Amino acid sequence: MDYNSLLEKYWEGETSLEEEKMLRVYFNSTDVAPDLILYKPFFLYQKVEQEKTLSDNFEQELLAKIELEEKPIVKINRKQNVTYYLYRIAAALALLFGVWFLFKPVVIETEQIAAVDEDTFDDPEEAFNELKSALLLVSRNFEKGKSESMKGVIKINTLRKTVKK
Amino acid sequence: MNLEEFKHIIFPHKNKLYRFALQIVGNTVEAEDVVQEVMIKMWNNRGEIKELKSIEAWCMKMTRNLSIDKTRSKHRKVGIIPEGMDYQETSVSPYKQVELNDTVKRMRSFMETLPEIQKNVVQMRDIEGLTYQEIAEALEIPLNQVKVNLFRARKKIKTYLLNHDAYGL
Repeated sequence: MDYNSLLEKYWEGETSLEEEKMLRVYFNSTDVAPDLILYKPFFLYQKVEQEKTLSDNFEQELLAKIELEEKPIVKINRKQNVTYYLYRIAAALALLFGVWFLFKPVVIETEQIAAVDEDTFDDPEEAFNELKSALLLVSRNFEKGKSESMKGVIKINTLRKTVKK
Repeated sequence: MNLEEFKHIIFPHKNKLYRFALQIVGNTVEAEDVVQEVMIKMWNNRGEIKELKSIEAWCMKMTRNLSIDKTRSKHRKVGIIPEGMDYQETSVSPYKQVELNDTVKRMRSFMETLPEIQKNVVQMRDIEGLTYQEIAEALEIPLNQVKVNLFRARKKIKTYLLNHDAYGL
């Protein structure tokens, strides 16, 4: 094998991967021609670099991490499950029922208010008289309250006049 | 795609991605974080994995982007020389070992002086054995740019090695 010309080809960047491997093997052997030995350091460097490897527990650590990362993926897969969608529908229905249940008493109260608004008398005259007597009762009591409170005011005024004198 | 299939398809690329991330972030812990992030993202998008033209190129692209994000977020210089030398070969004497380490360290320091794109292309081609097409996809550059950058990088490496030998630098 003419390593001289192969090496020249190598420097020109015209060697194949296989030829480059041959050169590496040759330069890392003990029988390198004296006129070529000066090129040995570069091929030795290649060999040393090729021997650098990851620590032994690299794969173990990586697999442990992958397992940890797996959990969210399981959740994503569950999305495709039919039961997952059924649960979603059930939850939506439950929510709708809840809303309906919340608003239901309000509807009932409205009905009760409507019931109060209904006519209690058939004869308008009778209804008017009833309303009149009710309003008069309220009015009377208002007046009563007024005269009671006025008594206090008159008393204070009399007292003030007496003091001024 | 189940976990077993995922492990079978993605895990074989883990060390390639790690080395590529390491070249950019320059720190083993952060490089591992990047690879983990890439793989988790791949797992989360596992439905699309089989549609990809080249899984390797796709993973490399993600690794590159995440690594750059990491270095940017820390406002750090991209491509710090990786700390520590893990190279161990039992068949060589301790003296020879030190010599080997020094040789590799010097080579690595030189590689750091290359422009980012050239460094990436060399890493993908000479260390990870990717095709030009895969490199173009991963770096999102045209195919001829891959070849041009690889050619320029190799030319610089050759010049460095020739000078290094002549002056013993």
